[in-house]
Amino acid sequence: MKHAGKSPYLKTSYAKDMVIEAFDTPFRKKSTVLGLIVWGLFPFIAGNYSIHIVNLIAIAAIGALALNLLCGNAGLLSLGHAGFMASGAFTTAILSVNFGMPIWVVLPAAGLVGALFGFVAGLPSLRLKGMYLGLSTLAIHYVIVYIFSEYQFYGKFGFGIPIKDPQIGPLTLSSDRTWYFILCFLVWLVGIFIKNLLRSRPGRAWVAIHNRDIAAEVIGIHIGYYKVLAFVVATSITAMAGGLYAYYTNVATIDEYSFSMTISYLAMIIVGGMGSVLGSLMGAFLITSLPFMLMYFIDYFEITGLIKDYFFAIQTGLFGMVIIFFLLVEPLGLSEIWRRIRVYFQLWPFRLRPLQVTKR
Amino acid sequence: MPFLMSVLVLGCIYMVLAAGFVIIYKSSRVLNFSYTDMAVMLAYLAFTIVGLIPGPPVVALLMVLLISFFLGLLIYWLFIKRMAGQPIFSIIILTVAIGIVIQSINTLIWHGDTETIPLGWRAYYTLPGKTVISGTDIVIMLATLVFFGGLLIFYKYSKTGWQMRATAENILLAAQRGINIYAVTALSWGIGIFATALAAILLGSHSAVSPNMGHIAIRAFAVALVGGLDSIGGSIFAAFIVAAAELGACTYVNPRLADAIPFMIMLVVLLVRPWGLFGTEEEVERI
Repeated sequence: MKHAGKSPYLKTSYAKDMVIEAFDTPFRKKSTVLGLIVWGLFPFIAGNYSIHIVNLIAIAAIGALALNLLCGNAGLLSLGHAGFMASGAFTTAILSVNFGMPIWVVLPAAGLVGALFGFVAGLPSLRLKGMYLGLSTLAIHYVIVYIFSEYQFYGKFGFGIPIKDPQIGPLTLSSDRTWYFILCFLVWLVGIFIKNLLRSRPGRAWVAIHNRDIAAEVIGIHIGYYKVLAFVVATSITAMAGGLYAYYTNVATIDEYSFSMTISYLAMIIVGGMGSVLGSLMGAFLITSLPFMLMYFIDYFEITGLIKDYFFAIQTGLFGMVIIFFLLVEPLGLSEIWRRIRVYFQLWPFRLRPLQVTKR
Repeated sequence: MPFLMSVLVLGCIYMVLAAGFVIIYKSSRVLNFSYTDMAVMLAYLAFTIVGLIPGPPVVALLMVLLISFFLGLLIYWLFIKRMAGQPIFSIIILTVAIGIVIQSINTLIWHGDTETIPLGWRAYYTLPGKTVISGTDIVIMLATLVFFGGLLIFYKYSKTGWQMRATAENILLAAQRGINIYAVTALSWGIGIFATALAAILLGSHSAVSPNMGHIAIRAFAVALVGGLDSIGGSIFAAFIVAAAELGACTYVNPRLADAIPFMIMLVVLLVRPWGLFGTEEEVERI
């Protein structure tokens, strides 16, 4: 106990072990401070366009965190992610346009509606597993899309329901810069929430069910309850992300929430790393910024012709190839690569790690 | 009567589509999500090849079917075989990813144009009861009949067919008895994509070849699940249920229900009988 407190790797009490620390090693301390400074200065240096991209990444990150909780941690395949986002977006549209409600009522309400749909989607999970569940969530996606496209059609909204900029007290959320701070804060909040959820009873129950459901039931975990709970938590967060997206883009249109949106979210969690909070963030960053980077390259090299005309097709094809590449070569995603790099530098100049972290 | 006729024709198309899916699922336990995009691609391919080769379109269409068979083998050897041992989740996502790559290839080559596949038989006949039947409809029904008849004979009487059934039933025991399970699974992928190509050609000649074909093809998921994922016979029955419900809703209620109705039926069946109307009960892992 002589060196207690000296080495940042030595944890001397349980309470200390439980804290999620950003300041535990000198390197982390420096990089956290540096990161915060960069984060705070970014919106004042960068142009509106880059801030806009970061905002989109932040919204995608919230959705990806929720999907990763459901698919990566609880192991429940969901192909209805776009549908759940649509439910949030349209709840937002209906409540804010028809009833003029403020954002702090609308967003929780969107979460509630999402949770309701999630509950319905979760019920089949009591009996179904794997791809059967995936198909039933796909079915729910089509049902949700049908309901809201009827609403959009009969409400004569044409290309979408326009939504006004929300107000929090005297503050109007209209400029990208204001949104930047709000959205980044929300990402941080959701990330911390999920990280804590995963260490508490539900999170451990989900991991246990994911690994071996029969064993989980034997040790006294109520499987049905936790499976539905995973759906409810994930879909309510997803619906809130959908609501934020509708608020941010000022429009809710059903065409946006197609199956390809689900695919891009699945791409995020696969590329980032299944079951990893950091992975969701990395995946959201890569997949959301990929089209913008592509666009930038096309403009920079003044490429015209087929590539520019069919930009969207090339973009989705690239998504597909990235997913195939990661599935075949690195199934654990970017977060695994990041972990390997970190371990390499931590152990340097040694090469072998003392403890092999078992792969799931 | 015209209504029944269109249910029959649509049911035939759904049946073949679902068969392409069930055959692959039966032997490799993989749900091939790429298959709607594959159907679109094969339909466009059929259109292009029919345009290239002079003479009756039958020759060109047979060529497309042959190509599709080898495409199935190729996909199995390139991607699916490497994924052995990975969680089923990853394999499903892999097929989704293959699908979107194919989708972008479709757009790049054919630009999303709307075409039709000519079968070379543009005649209309009036049956008793004032039902009009076109040559295309007759071809669709005949092709479906021949396909399922051939499948039945192949599964029942050929040695490879036996091996395929054995592999579907218990892959471990089949391997133990000296069956080359890789070859058998590859073959089932070939046959599955073959069926998809057949359905794509029928669908393309029945309505039109366009990227929207995928929306119709995706309903075959519902057909396969309602009938039972491991039951080819079940999908025949389910195809008619889904086609009747869909066309009924389209004609009498609301045309925009067409996308949702098959999935609503599927949801109900999944909740009541998860293994489908004719599937094997042990098929679904239960708690």
